[in-house]
Amino acid sequence: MKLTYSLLVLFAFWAFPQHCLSQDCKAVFKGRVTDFHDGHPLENSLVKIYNTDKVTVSDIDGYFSISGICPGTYEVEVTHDLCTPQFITVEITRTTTRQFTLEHHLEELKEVVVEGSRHHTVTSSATEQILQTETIDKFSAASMGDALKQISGVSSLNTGSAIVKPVIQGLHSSRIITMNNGVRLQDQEWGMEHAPNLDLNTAGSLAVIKGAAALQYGGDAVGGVIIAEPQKISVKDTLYGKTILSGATNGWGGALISSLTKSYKTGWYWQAQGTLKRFGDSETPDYSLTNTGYSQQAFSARAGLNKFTYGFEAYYSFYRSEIGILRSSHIGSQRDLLQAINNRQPLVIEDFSYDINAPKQQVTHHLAKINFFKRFEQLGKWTLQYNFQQNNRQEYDLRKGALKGVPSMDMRLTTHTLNSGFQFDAHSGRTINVGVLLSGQHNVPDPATGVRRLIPDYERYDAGVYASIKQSINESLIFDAGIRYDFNRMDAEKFYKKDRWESQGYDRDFSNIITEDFGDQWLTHPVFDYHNISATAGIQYQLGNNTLRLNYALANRPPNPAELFSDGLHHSAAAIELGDLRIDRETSHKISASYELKTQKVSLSLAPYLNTIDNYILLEPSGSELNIRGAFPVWRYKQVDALFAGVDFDFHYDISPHWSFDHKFAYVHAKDRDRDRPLIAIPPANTSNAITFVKPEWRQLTLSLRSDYFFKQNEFPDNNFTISIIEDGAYVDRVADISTPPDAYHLLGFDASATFPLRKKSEITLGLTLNNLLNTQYRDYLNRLRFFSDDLGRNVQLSIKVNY
Amino acid sequence: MKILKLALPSLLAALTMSACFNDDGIPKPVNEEELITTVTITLKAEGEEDVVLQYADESGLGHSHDHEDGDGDDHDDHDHDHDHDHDHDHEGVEGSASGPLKSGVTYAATIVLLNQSLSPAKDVTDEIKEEADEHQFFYTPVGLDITTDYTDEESDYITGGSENPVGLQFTLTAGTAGHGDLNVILKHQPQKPNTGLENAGGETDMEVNFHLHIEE
Repeated sequence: MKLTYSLLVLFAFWAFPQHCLSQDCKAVFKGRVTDFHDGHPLENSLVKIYNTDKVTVSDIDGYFSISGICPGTYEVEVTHDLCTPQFITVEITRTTTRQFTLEHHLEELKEVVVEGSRHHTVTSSATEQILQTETIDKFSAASMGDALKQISGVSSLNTGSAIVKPVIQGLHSSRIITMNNGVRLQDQEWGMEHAPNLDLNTAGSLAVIKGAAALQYGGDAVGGVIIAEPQKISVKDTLYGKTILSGATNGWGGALISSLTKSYKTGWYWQAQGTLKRFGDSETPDYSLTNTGYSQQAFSARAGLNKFTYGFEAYYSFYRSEIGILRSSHIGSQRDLLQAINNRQPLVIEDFSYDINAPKQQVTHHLAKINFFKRFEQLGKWTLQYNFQQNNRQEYDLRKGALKGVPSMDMRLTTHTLNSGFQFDAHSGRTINVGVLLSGQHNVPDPATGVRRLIPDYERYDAGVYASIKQSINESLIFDAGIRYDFNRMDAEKFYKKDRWESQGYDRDFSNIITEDFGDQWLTHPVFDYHNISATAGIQYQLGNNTLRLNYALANRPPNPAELFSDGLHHSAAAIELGDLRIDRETSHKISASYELKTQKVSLSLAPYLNTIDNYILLEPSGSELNIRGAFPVWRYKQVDALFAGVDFDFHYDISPHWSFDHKFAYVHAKDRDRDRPLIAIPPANTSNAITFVKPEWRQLTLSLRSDYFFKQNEFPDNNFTISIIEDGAYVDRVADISTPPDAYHLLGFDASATFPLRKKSEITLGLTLNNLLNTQYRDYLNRLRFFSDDLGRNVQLSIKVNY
Repeated sequence: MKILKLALPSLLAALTMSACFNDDGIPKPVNEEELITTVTITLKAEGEEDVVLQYADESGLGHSHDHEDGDGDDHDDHDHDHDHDHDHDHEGVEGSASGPLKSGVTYAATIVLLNQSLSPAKDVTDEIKEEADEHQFFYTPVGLDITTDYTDEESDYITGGSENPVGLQFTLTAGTAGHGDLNVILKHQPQKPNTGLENAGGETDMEVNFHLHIEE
């Protein structure tokens, strides 16, 4: 492009030398400059004819006119404040008229160049919060779930410290949609100890929509949507990169993250990014947590063309992790569980090691996508995207003999998705989005494990259509609404032990789905269809510094494969988990509101919500089963009507130019309305406060002291059970308390960072982070390993970040 | 137009790819390979009749106790075939004994575990011998006057093994007459050495009770 342009200029010089001036210079060049999107006139556009002194600006209606031009061929440049300049070559004779349409949305493309992040929200009326690159970099050695906890109302469901599942306003797993660069992550998210298979370092920003209002991503986001978007790449000639190296004392490990981005003024760009993490056993204040090391490798690359009127991107990302599960949490029967609970600390405590042995999980995720977009003048933008994902999860248990080293679960989930959307943005003040999605998914559990499949072979097909509108009513009021329809088909092939088949009562209700008799097992072919409607509507009202949002969202979620089909022993829970073919979809009605205030010194947000979920699917104890391995409680998936009500509060105050104070608070109350009792595993109220000192003059020195307080969860269901154990040669009944949440705890943390210039355009940032400063002993209600050990002790982390 | 030219082939590619799903045929059944379906303890003493303690459950699924009756419709299957003389919900499955023990007699005992759900049946005891350092049996009397002693150690089965007991071989001495349970537990990866179940930890691979009578 650039080359062509210079050649043209050169050509112009050569072909029409200066003596033209002496000719009859009475030609007129006129025309109009309008916005590409809505055809709306662009006032004050600069029109410049090269190699002459002729320059003019367009009037209020976008018209311009330049007279006194010598006939000939010229280079003309048209520019407008927020637009990409346009160059054309015109032959001007007598009166020549030309129309120019400029891209008036350049700020959208450029904004991120500086900030490295996004500003505009996905919805207008729902509660949304965004984490920017700076925050993400701080958590580069941790997981996405850890970073997201910076957002009020977001907590996490952990299995140890390396498996961190985000919980949004009390809801998690299949109730949350995770979007990675425009692709809905399909990574067996149904499991309690399946953390999102996403390297947070690929994200330039992380946004959380607390609820189902963003219908373009799916209609089943009862809990919310997490959107990880890569950094936007500017349309200019540049090459830049970033490397972060960090090391931590807890786990004696570290992370290396590096990325490189190249872009051209022509719109072409590429970016590559890689992450390596390796940690050994982590430790509590008092002891080492044997077999809790983990390793992660991730890589992503993208390349594309970002022209104003069209463009495409090809993206590939790879994620692999191997995570050790606390050795002592792998137990047999209920007696083992009771013993582990009563011991208060793990029986196996070995010296620190980097070894990752069974029990462990190993996950690989591939994601490839290609997308195209085209903008249509005075109409909008069309996008088309295809993506492919493959998720392979292997879980290793303690095994004997020839099966040692063979995973107990080995599942491969393959998903293809095709989606297309059109954004009508021609009318200023109104945006309409419509789209369709088609997706096919195939799950294959490998029978070579020698363990009966926990989740069966299945195929799942989804088709969805949606439409949404955002309309500005007047300067301060925006209305948005949307509707979506989804069809899901679950087509499975599952083996049932005949005695299980009967005890579940399936012989009465599902005898027609049996396809083959395998001795003590039936092969069955369940096919379930679901038709789901989701909808949303809301308003945003802005008055001065105040913003008020009100949103209603209806979401329907069909049951996931675990809820329908689970059938097996879950080791760390010492429980047999059983799905139910009769489970139907759950329906959520959520009303959320938020009040925001932004002044120079203060910004605050108060966001209450009410979410009633009919047929909420939960897992709870119901009976027990006795086999040769001992006694096991049976946990069944059930449906009840539930209610979630809560509030998230954020407050920021600039005390002085150097000092600021932040406060966050979140509370959620969750209830089983059918039986009028609390729901299990609901995050307790928590509050966090931080005081920060920033002195830009001193190498951007930033010091921050954090305090996080987690209350004791006082609302919990009683799932305790009595078991008889042998004491002094006699049976005695003992109660295993698996219900009572741990005590409240308070953690202090400290952060420091400073930035030094390195060379031209390069800088180095040194960071120090201290977590659990006082080495406090605590357990977290939402950590599944709380029965077995304390949580992490003090951690000192040093990081070096170089931007170049 | 250029875009369309690019988009169409990729759309077709996508559709073809989705069409290749059905290539695996029907899934194969999995027979649980790690089951222990049969536990046999043979007690021998000179001049006494052998006593054989046995537990067998071929499905390995055990049986369920539904103490939940919210939905109530699958509550009708209480067909336990074991002769419980007391109903303990959570104490393990129960095997049977071929006859009574004799008071004052010390029996030499061996335990054999089989997986008979596979054919041919797999001798799980062989695997335990190979991994003697990762396994240990625990024999606990309940309301029964017997004492047990390990008579083997890891070095009997593996080269360079320690003197820690394994419990595949043991002695059982019957005391005063009466009846009660012998609780047998196999732990995988216990802490070794240990002083008993209370600090052994590990994962329970097997737990069986035998109701025994001691006669004068």
